[in-house]
Amino acid sequence: MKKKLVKRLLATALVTVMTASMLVGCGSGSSDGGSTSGSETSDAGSSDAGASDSGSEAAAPVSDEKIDVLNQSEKMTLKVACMTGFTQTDSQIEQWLEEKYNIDIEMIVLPGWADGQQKISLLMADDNERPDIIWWWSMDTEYTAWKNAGLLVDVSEYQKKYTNIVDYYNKMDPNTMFYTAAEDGMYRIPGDVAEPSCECLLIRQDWLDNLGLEVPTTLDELKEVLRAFTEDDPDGNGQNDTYGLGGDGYDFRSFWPFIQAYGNTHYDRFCVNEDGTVGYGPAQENTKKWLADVADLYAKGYITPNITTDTDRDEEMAKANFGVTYSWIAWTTTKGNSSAMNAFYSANPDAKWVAIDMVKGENGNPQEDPATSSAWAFFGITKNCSDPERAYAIWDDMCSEENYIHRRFGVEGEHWERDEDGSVNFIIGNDSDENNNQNIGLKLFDNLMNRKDECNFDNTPEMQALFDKSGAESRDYAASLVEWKDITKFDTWIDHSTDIEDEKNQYLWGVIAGSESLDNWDAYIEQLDALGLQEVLAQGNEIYAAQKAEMEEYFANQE
Amino acid sequence: MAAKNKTAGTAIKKSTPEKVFTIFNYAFFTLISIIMIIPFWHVLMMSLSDVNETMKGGIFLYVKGFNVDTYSQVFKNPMIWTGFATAIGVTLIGTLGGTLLTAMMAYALSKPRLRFGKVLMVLVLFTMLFYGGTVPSYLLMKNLRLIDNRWALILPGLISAYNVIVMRSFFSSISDSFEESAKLDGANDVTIFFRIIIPLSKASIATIVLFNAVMYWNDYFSTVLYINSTDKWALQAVLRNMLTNTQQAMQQAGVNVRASSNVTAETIKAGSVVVATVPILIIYPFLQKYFVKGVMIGGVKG
Repeated sequence: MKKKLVKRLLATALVTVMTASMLVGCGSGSSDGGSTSGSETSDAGSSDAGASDSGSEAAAPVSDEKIDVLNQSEKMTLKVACMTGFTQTDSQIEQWLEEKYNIDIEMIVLPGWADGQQKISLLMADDNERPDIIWWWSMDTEYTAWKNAGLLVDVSEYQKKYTNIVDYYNKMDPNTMFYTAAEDGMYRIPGDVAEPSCECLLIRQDWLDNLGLEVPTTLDELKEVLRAFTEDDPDGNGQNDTYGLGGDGYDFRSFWPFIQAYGNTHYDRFCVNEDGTVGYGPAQENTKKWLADVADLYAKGYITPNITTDTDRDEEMAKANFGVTYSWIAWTTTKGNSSAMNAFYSANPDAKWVAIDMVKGENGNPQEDPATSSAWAFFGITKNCSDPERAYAIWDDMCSEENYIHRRFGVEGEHWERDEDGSVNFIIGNDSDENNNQNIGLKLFDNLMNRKDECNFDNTPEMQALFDKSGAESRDYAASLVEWKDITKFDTWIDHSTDIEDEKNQYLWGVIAGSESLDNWDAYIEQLDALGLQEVLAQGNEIYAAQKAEMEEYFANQE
Repeated sequence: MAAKNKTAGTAIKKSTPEKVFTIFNYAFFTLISIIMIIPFWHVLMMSLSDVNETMKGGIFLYVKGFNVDTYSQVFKNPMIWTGFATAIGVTLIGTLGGTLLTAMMAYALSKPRLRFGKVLMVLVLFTMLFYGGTVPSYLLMKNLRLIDNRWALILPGLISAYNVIVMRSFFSSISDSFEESAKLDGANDVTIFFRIIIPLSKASIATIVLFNAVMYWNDYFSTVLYINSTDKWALQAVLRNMLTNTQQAMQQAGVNVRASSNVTAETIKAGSVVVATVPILIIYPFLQKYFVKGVMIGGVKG
């Protein structure tokens, strides 16, 4: 009897312990919903912080007087979380910065793309370990939670006094700072913004010459070139082993020349219609047109067969048996600029890829694929920082043209030198072995504000000219696409996007591969609606209207 | 001569079906072995191949254009050496400490006379079924003031419930008469454990040593969670960081793609796999005979 009682008590105790343990295991979640990265730790960031903080507060009053960061008697410790670029400690560049600003830099190196976000969440959740400057990418939900919990400092007042960073972004694209700002301040700073357009149309000039063809300027001419490259033996080896179009597989960007030819369509972004309403790019009427073109060319064998599978872009380029592709600008210039192109030219020494103007299509306005204005990576000053204004002022000074070049590329004559034509030659490259072996520290704090202007020596002058041209020739298309400022507000899209995008990929790739028919377009649209597209568009239009008004107000205030 | 005749006389002649079966067995397991070995061989050959060849992809059954720049790049990174030091230290301490603690715990749990032994066993099993989660684990380490401390790479993995169960099963199979006779000779529990039980359990202990060594050597996630200073990172975390940093230029929209040396993300990946795997592979042959025996014993008699 006594034994039974003991057993029951033990069982009860065990059940209690197990339940309590499970609650502990699961209880770190907060009520702020999902996370863009889906990491378990993201919730910890908000809940732990939320327990001790009352939420975001207005920035403390900032005096008009500027801090002279070069003449500070008190040494300041600056703990910085970073991931890319130079990550060895006590480098020459780090020591230079420490002496220059009288600071002691402590780097927390994030473990890499796969686990970095989890580490960032943990660091932000830990009052003791939280760095003074935190770097992150994506993580929009977490950023909102940190901001609301008061973990990030509002730097909007500092930006009025220390202007290198803001001036740079406003010079490159004024929209960038708009997309960065929160409603009540500026809690993050853009770390890196892609060039306005990173890709261009590439063609095998040697194949054109072999066949006596001119560079295509219209979509129809391009189609004829694709046919000739496939059927007329452009490499002259007597074998039927070439294709017209190739590139990254299972990536709609490979078909950009056809997409842009019709306008008001996109492979994944939302479009602005003529009446000002917002539509889902892959469901726009013009999607049918480019889809028909691509499916026809694929059926005729003018496109590499494996483009419907998820191939590797570099590998495809390295063994390219096609004569046209839409790909990185960085692959266009001098030989030896990328591993993929090195591999290609080693096997095809007489080949010549050249960048050509985008072909003119039905809409008569050739355009490149535009990148977004907002940054893909950000950094922010946390509440752990002992003197946020001084930290911001230091960082802003580090981003001036002169200091940026020193930090990223080193000293002229020692690490790089200019040719007579003004182009830069590296004596010690920032990705070189010497940089690591001698612990120089070039490329320190990569992506904690990267400049893409004349301070970016990584681009050759030819490449920079192509970036400029491609960027300028993508602006009309950029204006016809929607860029969401705060995706966390677009909850219907967050809820339905996975299903909608799966359906989109299945149908569009099915049509291209020939397993689906364009005749089923209406059924495709009905299926998207059944998956919540109309609900998404209803909210999307509301958010877009509000965002547009906010943008107008923002720029009015800037003036 | 006599010995030869004796051997010939005792040999059992195999029937034709048996011969066919043996041939099939050899062929089948040779094929399985090849399937197991080819991926590693491919990685090894790729890591030693020319970068232009690796860019084209495909299977590497032999070296295509000999090139050791990948290894040069990997070993020139000073973090690799601190990573090795940390990984070796953690693996040695963790393996020795973990095996000792596991054996002690399993031995106690194998004794029916242990009070509340069954309850303790349930608690051990409980940790196999339920995991507290990443955040509670992190908070525990934080409260123990072990963040950015190498002990955080060792302590959480010291005792694994699975290993305890394997060893407990083995200890249960040892006859009580060894213990009883030792007690008659005046030995206490500690003496019995170290002088009698441990020497009898070499196979089982070797198995646990291997389990622990492989676990500690391959563990990179503890570094991700608990370590902030790069000079305390374990080898696997260093290699992972090296790999992702090589790939990042390509991942960020093709901007700033510059081939600075004769390596690519693919060759770095292959080289990293070799560097990370070879040290632990070296100890495998020395422990393998115990390993198989130990697992069989634990499995059959559990």
